[in-house]
Amino acid sequence: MNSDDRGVSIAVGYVLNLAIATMLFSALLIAGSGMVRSQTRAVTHDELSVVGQQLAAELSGADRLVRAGGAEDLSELGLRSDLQDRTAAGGYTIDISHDSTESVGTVELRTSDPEVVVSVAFRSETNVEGVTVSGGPVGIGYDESDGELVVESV
Amino acid sequence: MILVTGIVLAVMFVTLGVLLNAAIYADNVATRGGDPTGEALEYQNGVVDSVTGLLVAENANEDHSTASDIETAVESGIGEIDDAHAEMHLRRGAATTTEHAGGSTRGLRLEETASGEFADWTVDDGDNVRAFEIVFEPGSMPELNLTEDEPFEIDLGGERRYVYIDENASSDLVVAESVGSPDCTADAGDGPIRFNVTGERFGGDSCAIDWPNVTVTEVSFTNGANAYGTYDLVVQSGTDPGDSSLSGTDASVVIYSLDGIRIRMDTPKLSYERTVRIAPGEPDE
Repeated sequence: MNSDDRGVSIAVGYVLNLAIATMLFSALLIAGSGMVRSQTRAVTHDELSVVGQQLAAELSGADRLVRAGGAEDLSELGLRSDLQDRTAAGGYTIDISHDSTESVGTVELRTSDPEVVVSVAFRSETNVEGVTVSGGPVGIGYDESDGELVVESV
Repeated sequence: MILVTGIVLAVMFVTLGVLLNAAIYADNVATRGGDPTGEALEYQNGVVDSVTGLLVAENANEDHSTASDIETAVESGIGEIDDAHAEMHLRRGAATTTEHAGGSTRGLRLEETASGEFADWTVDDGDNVRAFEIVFEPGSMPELNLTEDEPFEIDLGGERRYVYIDENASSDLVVAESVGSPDCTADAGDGPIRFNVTGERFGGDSCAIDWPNVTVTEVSFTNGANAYGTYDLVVQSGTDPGDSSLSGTDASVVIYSLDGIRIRMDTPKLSYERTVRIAPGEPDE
């Protein structure tokens, strides 16, 4: 009788141990993966904010150079902005829009997985061509014929 | 299972470490300084200030008797300015080039440095005026009967102003667009009163003349005997300083403006080139 009791106890104890361990590990993995995902989102947001601020500052700086002395006397303007290629969430896109009547524009940066969108406003008296480019180094130039700043990947 | 879980947890910890590194890198990038456009603007303003000072100095140099003498001296000075700016910016990794690639515009400096009544004179082909300043001495100016006397008149072509003391309001020296309707006043008992025409200041207060929208076609002083003091101005003009229309004033040839100063800056991030026009003292457009 005693040996039967011990046999049952070991099996039940083993199953119980296994079940509890599985639950603990599962909870740990679920919580861990959730934390990794939330941290990825937070870090990506920080990175896109920094990239957006950099590009907005470069665009406003280019605008100042165009206006310093008049656009008609500007022979050449080429400004390279070394933005990072990837974020914690992978590649990203940069969407630039500008409202010439208000002289303000927006740099919108977006990743797809996880989807993080950051918008950074900038001020530019000079028109800025609306464009979408993939994340990474970009060049800012001035198109004399259209009288606007243009942004393109380099 | 423990092994698998351990591996997964290890991967998670490594991932968190990579994310932490990315966050630190992002914050590091955010705090990096360096504004290439600011340095280019600093360079441009430096060149404008330097060449402006050079042009003012060479225009004032009485050793130069002709416009080409002034131009030669200015060209030489611009070469030295180029060297100085190139050396200064090269220390910060920027290559600069400054040169006079365009022409220059001739002008006349008209002045009266000894206090006295003003002479009447006319510059028929005036295109522009800069650094136009008159210092009136009201204590030596007549009080005018505005129905009989002709007040001192400054004619710029597109705008004219009268400056006088009305005998019915003798405590004020006034500037008026039409006689009898003062636009700006200053206390005549306060001693010399400065009228910066192109700076739009009279007796220390604002006195609008609508620069830089004034169309200058000719510049003249009329009824100068009803004013007293000193004056100084530079007119864009090709008139010979010895012309009879200028016989009452001190006139000398100057370079009114340098029209094509080419500046260029190259850095690893920026290529910038433009031409600037230097006309010291001219109202901003």
